[in-house]
Amino acid sequence: MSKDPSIEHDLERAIKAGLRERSRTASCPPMDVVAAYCEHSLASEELSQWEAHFAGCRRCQQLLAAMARVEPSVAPAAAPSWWSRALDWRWLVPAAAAASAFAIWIAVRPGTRPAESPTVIVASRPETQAAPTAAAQPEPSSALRMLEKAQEQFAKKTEPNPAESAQAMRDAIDRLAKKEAPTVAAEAAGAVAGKPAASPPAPAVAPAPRTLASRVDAAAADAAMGRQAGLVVIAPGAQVQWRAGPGGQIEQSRDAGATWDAQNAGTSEDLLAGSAPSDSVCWIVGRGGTILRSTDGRAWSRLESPVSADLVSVAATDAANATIAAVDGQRFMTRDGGGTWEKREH
Amino acid sequence: MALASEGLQQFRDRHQTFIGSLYRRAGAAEWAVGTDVFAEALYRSARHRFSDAELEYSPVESYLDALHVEDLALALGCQAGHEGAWRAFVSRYRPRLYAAARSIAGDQDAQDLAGSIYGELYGLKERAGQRRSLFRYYHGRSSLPTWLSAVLAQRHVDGLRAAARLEPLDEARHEIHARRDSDASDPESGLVRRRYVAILTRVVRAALAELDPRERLRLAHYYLDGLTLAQAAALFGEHESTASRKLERTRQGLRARIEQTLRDEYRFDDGAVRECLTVGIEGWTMDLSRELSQETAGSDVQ
Ligand SMILES: [Zn+2]
Repeated sequence: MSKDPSIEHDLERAIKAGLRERSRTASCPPMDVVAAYCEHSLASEELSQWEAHFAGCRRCQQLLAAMARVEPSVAPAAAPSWWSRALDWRWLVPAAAAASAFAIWIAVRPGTRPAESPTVIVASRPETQAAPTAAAQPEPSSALRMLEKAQEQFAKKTEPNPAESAQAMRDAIDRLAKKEAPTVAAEAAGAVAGKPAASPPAPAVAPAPRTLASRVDAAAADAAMGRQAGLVVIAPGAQVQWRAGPGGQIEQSRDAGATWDAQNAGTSEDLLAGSAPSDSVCWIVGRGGTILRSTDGRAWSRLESPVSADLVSVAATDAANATIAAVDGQRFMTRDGGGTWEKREH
Repeated sequence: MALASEGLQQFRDRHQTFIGSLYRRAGAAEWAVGTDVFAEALYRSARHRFSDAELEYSPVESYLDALHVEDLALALGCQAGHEGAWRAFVSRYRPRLYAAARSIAGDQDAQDLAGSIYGELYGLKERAGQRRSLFRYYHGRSSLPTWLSAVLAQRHVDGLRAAARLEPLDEARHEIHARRDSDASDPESGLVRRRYVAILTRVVRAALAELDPRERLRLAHYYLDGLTLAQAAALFGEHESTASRKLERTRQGLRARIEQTLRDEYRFDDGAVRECLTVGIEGWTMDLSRELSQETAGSDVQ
C-alpha cells in the first residue's frame, strides 16, 4: 500500500463521504431506548439491533453525539460514562517527571442525590519530592488496587453485577481522593517506576494545598452548574492560573481564579493537560498531538509535535524542558523548547 | 382494548408478589400513585420491550427488576398532577434538565429548549379535556435525567436538521449548475468524472458495509460528529485507550481496503488511484450535499 499523503488524505475524505450518505433504514428507536443505550442497560440482542441502526442513521448519530456532550453531572449515576471521565489516568499529571506545577481536575459525580459533593482529584508532583527507585517500590495502596480491579472488570464487561462494581469504584475514588490521598501519592509514584513504558501514566494523588481549597470549591460550583469541568493549571504561588478545555479554549486568571480572561490558543483541538512552571511559562497539550506553549503568560504558539496521537499529559520545568505523554503511552522529552523531541523509554 | 386489559390482568396475576415489592421499592404511595396505575405502567413498559409471546416466556421479572421504578413512580405522580410529585421533580431534576439543555444547545438556546420540554412534561397540551404529559413515554428503562436528556437531544437535533434542509439547498444547486456547465463544455471530462464517482462510491460503500456496525458508528462519531475520544468511549462504555486503538485500526484498515480494491479490481496504478480519489471525491461531495439537503425529518418521541 502506498504511503502517499495525498492519497491518504483523499481516502479519508472518501470514508467521510461514505459515512454521510443518506441511509434508508427502518424507523429510529424511541427515546427511552436511546436513553437506556446511553446508560449501557440494553439487553445484548437489543443492543446489537439498535447499534446496527445507529451505524446507518445520521439522525441517531447526531442524537447520540448530543447525548455524549451532556455533562457527566446530568449523565447516569451507575454508568461507566462518568467514571471513565473522572478516573481516566489522563486526568492526572504523570508522577514520573518532576514538575513544580499543580494540575487540578474536577469531576462532578452525578450521584442519585443532586446535592452530592463533587469528587475533586488533585494531582501533583512537587519538585522537592525525590523520585523513588524501582528497587524501593512499595505495594500500591488497597484503594489503588481496588480501583485497578474495578477498572479491569469494567473493561472486560464480564462483571456480573455492574451496580456493585460501580459502587466499588466510587468507594475507591472516595478513598483515593480523600482519606488515602497522601500515601497513595507516594505509592503511585513508586509503582510507575516499575511499570513498562507502554502502560498509561500512573496517577499521583495528593491533597490540595489549603490555599487552593476555595478555588476548588468555586470550580466545583461552576461544574455543578453544568459548565464544562476542565483542566486548571496553577502556577507556583497559585495567583496565576490557566483553565483550558474542549475546542481549544484557554482562559487565564491573575488573581487566583477570581476573574478570568480568554486567551487565543490558535487551535480548536480539545486541550487535555497542562503544566505551568512559572507565572509566565505554561505548556498545554491536547488532542491530535497539539502542543501549545506560552512564554509570556499571554500569547500562545503551537509547537511541532513528534506524534499525531492525543497527548494526555505534560510536565515542564521551564520554557525549554518538558516531557509529554501520548494516549498510547509513548513519551517524549525536549530540552530546547520543543525544537527537537527525544523519545523516552520510561 | 379487551385484549389489552386481559393481558394486563394475566400480567398482574402472574407477577403479583413481585409487582407488590416493586411498588414498595418505588415509594409510589408517596405520590398517591395507586397499585392499579403502577401495575399498568409496568405492564406497558414490559409490552414496550417484549412481544406477546415473549411476555409469557421471557424473564420479565428480571427486566422489571432493572427498571428505575422510583423515577417511574415519580413520573406517574407528575403525570397525574400530584403536587408533591411535581415539587420533588422540580427540586431533583429541574437543574439537571437545564444543565443538559445547555450542554446540548448552548447557553443561548438552552432556555427555549428546556422550557418547551418543561411545558410538555406538565402537559400543557390538552386532549379531550385530559392533560397529555410527555411523561407517558417514560417507561423507567433509564434514569429520568438521562431520558430527559435524550428527549432534549432529539428536539435539538431535529430542529437543526430541519433548519439545515432549508439552507444548503441554494448552495448545492449552485454547485450542481456549475458542474453541469463544466461538464457541458468538456463532455469527455464529465464522463470521466462520472465514472470515477461511480467507482469510488461503490468501493467505499462496500468497504463500509463490511464493517461491524459498532465500528461504523465509531467512525461517524469521529468523522462527522467531532466527539472527543473520551465522549465516544463513554458512549460505548469503553476505555478511552481501547477506543483510541480501535478507531485507529478501523481507519487504517478501511483506507487500505479501499485503495487495495481500486488497485486489484479496477487495475488502477498509482496515478489512476490518485485521480479516481481526487476527481471522484469532488463529485461525490456535491451529490451528497444535494441529497442531504432533501432529507426528511425523523419520527417523534414515542
Ligand atoms: Zn435513527
